[in-house]
Amino acid sequence: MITVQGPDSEQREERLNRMVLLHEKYLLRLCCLYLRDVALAQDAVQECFLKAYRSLDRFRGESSEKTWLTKIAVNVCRDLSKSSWLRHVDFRVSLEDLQLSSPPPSAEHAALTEAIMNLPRKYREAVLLHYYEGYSVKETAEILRITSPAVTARLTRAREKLRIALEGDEKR
Amino acid sequence: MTEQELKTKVPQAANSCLAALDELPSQRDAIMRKLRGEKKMKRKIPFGVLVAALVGLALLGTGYAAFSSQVAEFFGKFYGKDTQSWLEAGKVAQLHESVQFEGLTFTLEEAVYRGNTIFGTGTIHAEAEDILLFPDDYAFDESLNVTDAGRAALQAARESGKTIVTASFQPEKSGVDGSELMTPGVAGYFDEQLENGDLRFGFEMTDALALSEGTQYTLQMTANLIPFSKEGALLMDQKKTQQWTVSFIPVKMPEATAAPAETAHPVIAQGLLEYEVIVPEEYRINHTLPVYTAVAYDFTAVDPTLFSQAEITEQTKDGYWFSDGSMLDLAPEALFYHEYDGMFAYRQILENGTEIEPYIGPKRALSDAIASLASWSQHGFPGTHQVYTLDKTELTRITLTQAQQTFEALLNKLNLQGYVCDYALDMSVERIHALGSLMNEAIENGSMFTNGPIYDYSAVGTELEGFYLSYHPAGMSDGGDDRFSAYAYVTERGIVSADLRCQYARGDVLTTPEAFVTAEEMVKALPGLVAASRYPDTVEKVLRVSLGYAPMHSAESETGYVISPVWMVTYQDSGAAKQGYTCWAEFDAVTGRLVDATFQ
Repeated sequence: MITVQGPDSEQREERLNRMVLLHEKYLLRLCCLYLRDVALAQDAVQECFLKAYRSLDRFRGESSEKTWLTKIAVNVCRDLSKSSWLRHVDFRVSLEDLQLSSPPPSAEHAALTEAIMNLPRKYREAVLLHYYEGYSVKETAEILRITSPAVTARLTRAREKLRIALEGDEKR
Repeated sequence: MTEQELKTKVPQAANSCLAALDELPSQRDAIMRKLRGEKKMKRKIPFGVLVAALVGLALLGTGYAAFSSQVAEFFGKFYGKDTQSWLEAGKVAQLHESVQFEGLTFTLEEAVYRGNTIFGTGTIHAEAEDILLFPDDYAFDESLNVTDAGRAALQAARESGKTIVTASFQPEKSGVDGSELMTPGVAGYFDEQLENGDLRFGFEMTDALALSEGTQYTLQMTANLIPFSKEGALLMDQKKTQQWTVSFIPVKMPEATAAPAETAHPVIAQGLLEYEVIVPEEYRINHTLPVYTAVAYDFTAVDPTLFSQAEITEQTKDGYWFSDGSMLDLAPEALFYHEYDGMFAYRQILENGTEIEPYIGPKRALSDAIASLASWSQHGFPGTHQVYTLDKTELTRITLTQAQQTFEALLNKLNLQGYVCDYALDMSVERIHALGSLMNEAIENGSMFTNGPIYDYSAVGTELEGFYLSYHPAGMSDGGDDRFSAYAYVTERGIVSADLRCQYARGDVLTTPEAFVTAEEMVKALPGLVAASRYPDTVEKVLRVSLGYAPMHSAESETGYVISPVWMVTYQDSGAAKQGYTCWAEFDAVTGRLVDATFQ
């Protein structure tokens, strides 16, 4: 394990503990929307914090802790999505399959959430970070390591895809 | 929907649908346990290694007709019939080998090899009557996956007064034909409880290097046993482990059970074959490149004086602190050298405006802050996302050539051969002032959600001017991982900041082949390989083919590995073409064998 400076392991664990308390729920929602699977999202959150712990010393506060963790979470979700263990398992589940919400959400909310979860990955990432998490286009670009124009283009295409998906839903 | 509507509706909709997630128990304890478990693993000294060498397997005579692979069935249930058929066309070893440990019998029943991957199945059985086995996700604080029946069974077990334990039999390392055992790149493990109370497990591990095509495979397995408390929590501090090593030679499965479907060999449309071929100068001249013995790299043995001549004030298990404030941080496969200047209270401001308790950490020296500005510039600067490129090859006190020579001399001393410069940035006083100002502005206006540190970049003089350099082994940057990379900031003082990564280094020249297979042959072979893979697809377009080096298994090498020339084919399959990403396949340039690929 790499350690850059010298806080002892108890301090590091305390810091990790605090990060989990502060950010776990937020990251779980993000990962769940990204991966479309609760158990997988829980694995992703655990992995995210373990990765954060390993690189704790290289986090020098140039971005917020939340943004830093979000970057790690997006990368963990990407890795999970493309790992040979998972990449050909179809996780395009419906909200009913997730069996999460009680009472059930409104039809409009369910349709929109499901449409987002079924977007292709690169559009889903941009939508989750920009519209759901409220990151600016620039911040989204930074997290995804793409340019701001690329984020704008993805958001535009994502809006179009959502429009088509939701109109189709209305027709059904 | 408009932009504004989406900004309002998306959080509302998603939060209402996912509200129940908040009711799930926190994973904090599980995370901390994993953390502590990892530490233990790194410190542990194996207290006993049982080696069971199994050679060959009998799949002869009448056994053929009745043979069916447990592994194929097991993974077929999980992944579907296509995967089952794909596995049945692999090589199988029926092992039925057991090891007993702490009243449990761990049995590895069968292993199947195909496509740089070992799949295995087996069982864990409790010999003693007073022991009850349960999967580890039956722990009460991780009970998300437990059915009501499972919960009732666990409750009954608690009331019976028996000892309840969970156990696993996980592969940790693998090797081929006697090579050094390595941790594989991808590994998965899961288990289920059988009606008789035993646990059935399955695992899958993939690695292009440690599980490349060969004859005999070796797995290092670890048997784990963890008791439950009466309250249903896992008692991690009472975890017991035993290592076990098994070697086997898988053979082709009898054709009678699973004749693999004939796969047509598709071709790529001629119009989509306008790809670029990139080869090193040495290949242009000699039409060949040498094959080197691969030597496992270990940065922990590095001479610290290569980085700082200052007095060593502290040596830890992970590196050195020097009296000038610099730190050399070492791991076997990575090295980081940075200069620090005291400590800093990093404040974080949450989204809701709440400021959380400051974190006291080391403050980077100005030299390291400048290196960081350059690093941001390579990948997109915060705020503007602009990528900056080289303007000047000469600064007041150092030239690009001098900086490269300094860094390359270090790489040579560290025996990191074949790394070539793929990005350089002149950090002139003007650029440092401009980028520093942008960074401070981003911090001050809150867009970085932190308080700094703020540096007075405007006071920086020519003594801190330098070149930021990025090096990778030729042809290895398309593979997408950073296991072989070298970054440095070089001023007139020398290297003031460096991040180096290397798993294997070049040893002696093993051989120099007379000729290589051609890039065209690899491109021609690609569509058939993709179509016949575990994840079949069509190749839509080949983008480029580059000749570089990669580590691979070779029985010819004393270490079991070589650093050998490879053709890296970068292409798009149907999914990639639609979504705009790229895929790659790496071929041994000497034999044409597929080494690794995104479809494996």
